[in-house]
Amino acid sequence: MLEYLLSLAILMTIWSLLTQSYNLSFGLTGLFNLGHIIFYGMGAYTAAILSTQFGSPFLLNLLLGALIAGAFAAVLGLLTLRLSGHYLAIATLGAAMIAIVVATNWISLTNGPMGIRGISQPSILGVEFSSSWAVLALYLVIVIACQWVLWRLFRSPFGRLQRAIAHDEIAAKGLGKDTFRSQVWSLTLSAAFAAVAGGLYAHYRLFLDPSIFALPEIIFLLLMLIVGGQGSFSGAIGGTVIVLLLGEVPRFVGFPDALIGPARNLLYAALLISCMFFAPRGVVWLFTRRRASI
Amino acid sequence: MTLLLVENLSKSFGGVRAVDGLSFTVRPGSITGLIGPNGAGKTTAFNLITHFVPAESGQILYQGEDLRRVPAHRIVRKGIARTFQQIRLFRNLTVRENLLLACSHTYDGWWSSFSPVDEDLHLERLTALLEEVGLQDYLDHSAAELSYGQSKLVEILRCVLQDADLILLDEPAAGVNPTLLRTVERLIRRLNRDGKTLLIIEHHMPFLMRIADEVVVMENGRFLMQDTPEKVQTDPRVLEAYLGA
Ligand SMILES: Nc1ncnc2c1ncn2[C@@H]1O[C@H](COP(=O)(O)OP(=O)(O)OP(=O)(O)O)[C@@H](O)[C@H]1O
Ligand SMILES: [Mg+2]
Repeated sequence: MLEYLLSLAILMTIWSLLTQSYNLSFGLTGLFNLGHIIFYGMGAYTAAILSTQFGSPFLLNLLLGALIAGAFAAVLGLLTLRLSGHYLAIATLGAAMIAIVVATNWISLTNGPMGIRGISQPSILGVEFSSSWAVLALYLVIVIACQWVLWRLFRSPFGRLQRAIAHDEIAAKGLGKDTFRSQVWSLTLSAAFAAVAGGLYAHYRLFLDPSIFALPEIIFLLLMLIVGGQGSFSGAIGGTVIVLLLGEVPRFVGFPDALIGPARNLLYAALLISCMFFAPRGVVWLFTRRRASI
Repeated sequence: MTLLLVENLSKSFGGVRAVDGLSFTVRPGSITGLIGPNGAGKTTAFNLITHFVPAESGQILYQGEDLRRVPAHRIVRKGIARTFQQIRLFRNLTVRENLLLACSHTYDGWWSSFSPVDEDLHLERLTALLEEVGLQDYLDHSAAELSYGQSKLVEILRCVLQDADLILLDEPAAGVNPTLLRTVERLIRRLNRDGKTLLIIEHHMPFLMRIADEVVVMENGRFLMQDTPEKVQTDPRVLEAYLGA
């Protein structure tokens, strides 16, 4: 039971970073990025491959994953963001689908559908983090550091500009802002942080297969953002916690195993619909609307 | 002496020649009016000058530099700021944030765009400007809470904060109540005294004729005349353009 709670806490920690990274491009800048999961998967695969084939250290894997995913996102952005928003949606969605094919078929690199085993446990300067407690503590430190950077981004002139662009790109241009460059940066940073989350995941699960790119995960992310409130910093964290906890409910009320999946989806659908009716700007907003909040 | 020289400028949308061989000049330090019946092409002329719409032919020289090669977001750095006919405030942001976005250098350097120091740097200037137009109590209100006239004022303030030498205003008086209109007028006169040049599209003739030094008249995308307000008001061609429209 304790192990189960710990693993849930670790997943929540990882996902809170993934959701927040998505919140940057999708929520704050309003980019129609539908393939965010690809950056998460790239980070995870980078870590898995580097760790198993080169034995490279944990922190370096996270960093390289962020660089690779960030560079890939920058290219996607440079190619599509000058066009209308639909092109980014198609490009990111398409890239996510291609990623599944690549991860499944480039067997020498990814070991295909059999997946990659034997990813090293997280370690820093020779200190191994092998117990779940240790991993949770380490991940909390890393994720809080990342969240802090993201928080600064949200609150900075950069973040303000992103919110302006989300509302009216033409007006932002009229104020002399290079909206194209800003959008590319938003997507790039968003991808880099998603990749860090992916690296954390790989080093925790110690096993990785192409299902990490599965599209339902994107709907999961969207759900978390809608529940939390698009563009709201605290909302992304709140949304992650609410959605992940709700997903565990069917386990506890004694549903037979076969029904847990469908029951979960039903709960999510109910959550989505009630949010649309009662908290269209997110659940967190319900509690903070009296105060100025972001 | 010209600050802005527009020469033989043309732009069509489908079959409509919105701007058709337009030429006029703006003297530095002047308040120049741009008038003409609905659909004459005034707003399109603004969009061409600021490169929101690419011109098909002609020249736009600002301080001798051809603006047709400058992308829209770079126009501000050349020294030209504008408002839009349809108000384009960021309604999801506060008045303070709207104004901070307009302060130049907020997104110039890599580092400055990630540190929040710009707030303190500009706050004094923001509050002074808001006081000047009587909106000091709205600093931290959402821009969505402003009345129509107040929104127009904040849009003009955004132009002011961009430190432009030439300010293009698209119908600053339209839909603004008489009290606020006096504020708008006072602000425009003050800016002009401080050395700003203004090019103002307006249908509110008494207002424009009071403040303008010179007026450019357009009709059907074409240049009709450019002269002092007195001459323009009594010119039979102008009367005909408005009555015939
Ligand atoms: N983006 C566009 N696409 C198609 N037609 C356009 C576009 N912008 C302007 N037009 C057309 O160009 C002509 C000139 O329009 P413009 O808005 O410049 O006139 P205006 O002088 O500003 O009029 P108003 O006083 O009503 O604001 C009109 O016939 C208009 O319908
Ligand atoms: Mg117009």
